[in-house]
Amino acid sequence: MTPFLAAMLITHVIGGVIAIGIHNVALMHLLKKAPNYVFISRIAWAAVALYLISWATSAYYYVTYYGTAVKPRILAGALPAGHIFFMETKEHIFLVLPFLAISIALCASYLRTTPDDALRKSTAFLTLIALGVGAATAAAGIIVSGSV
Amino acid sequence: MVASVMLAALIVSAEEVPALKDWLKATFSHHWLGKGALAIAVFIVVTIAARLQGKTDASKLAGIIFAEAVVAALSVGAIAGYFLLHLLKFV
Repeated sequence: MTPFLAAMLITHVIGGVIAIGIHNVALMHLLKKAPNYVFISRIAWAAVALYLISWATSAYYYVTYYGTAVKPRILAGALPAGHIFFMETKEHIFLVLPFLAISIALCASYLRTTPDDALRKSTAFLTLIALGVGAATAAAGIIVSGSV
Repeated sequence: MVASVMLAALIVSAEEVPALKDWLKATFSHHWLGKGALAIAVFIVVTIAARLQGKTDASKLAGIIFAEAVVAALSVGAIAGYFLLHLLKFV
C-alpha cells in the first residue's frame, strides 16, 4: 500500500468514527426537552462533512486498491465471510449514511428557527438509526481488517 | 427516504441481474460509484420535486422524518439480509 492510499484509509476510518461520535452527541442533546439547536445543527453539519470526506476517501481506496489487493486475500483466507458478508454489507449500507446525516442536519437547522417537539423526537429517532447504521458499518470494517 | 429505498432495490437488483451491474461498471467505471452517483441524483431530484410541488408542509415534517428513519432501517436490513442469504448460498 502506498502512503497516499494509507492516508486515504486513515482519513476514511477517522472521519467516519468522529461522525458516528458526533451523532451520538447530537442524539444525547436531542433527548433533552429544550436542547440547544444551534449547537446541534453545527455538529450535525460537521457530521455531514465528515461522512462525505469518509465516503470520498473510501471510494478512492476501494476502487483503486481493495478489489485487486485486499479482496482476493480475504477470499483465500480463513474468513471469506469477511468480504462476502461484512464488506459487501458495509460498502452498501455506508451509501445510505450521508443521506441520513443530511436529513438530520436539515432538521436541526429547521429546529433552530422553528422549535417543534414532535420534530425533535423524530429527528432523535432518525439520529438513533444513523448511529446504529454507523456503528454497524464501523464494526464490519473492524472484521474486514481482521480477515486479511 | 426515496434514496434509501432506491439504493436497497438497486443493490439487490445489481447482484441478481448481471447486466445491470455491468451497465453500472461500464457507465461509472465501478458499480459502487454508480450506485452512489444514482443515489445522489435521486436525492437531489426528489428534494427539488418536493419543493416545486409544495410538499414541504412543516406540520407533516415530523411524520416524514419518522417514516424516513423506519424506511432507512428497513432498507439497511434488506441489504444486510440479502448478503447474509448470499453468504449462506440461498441466493
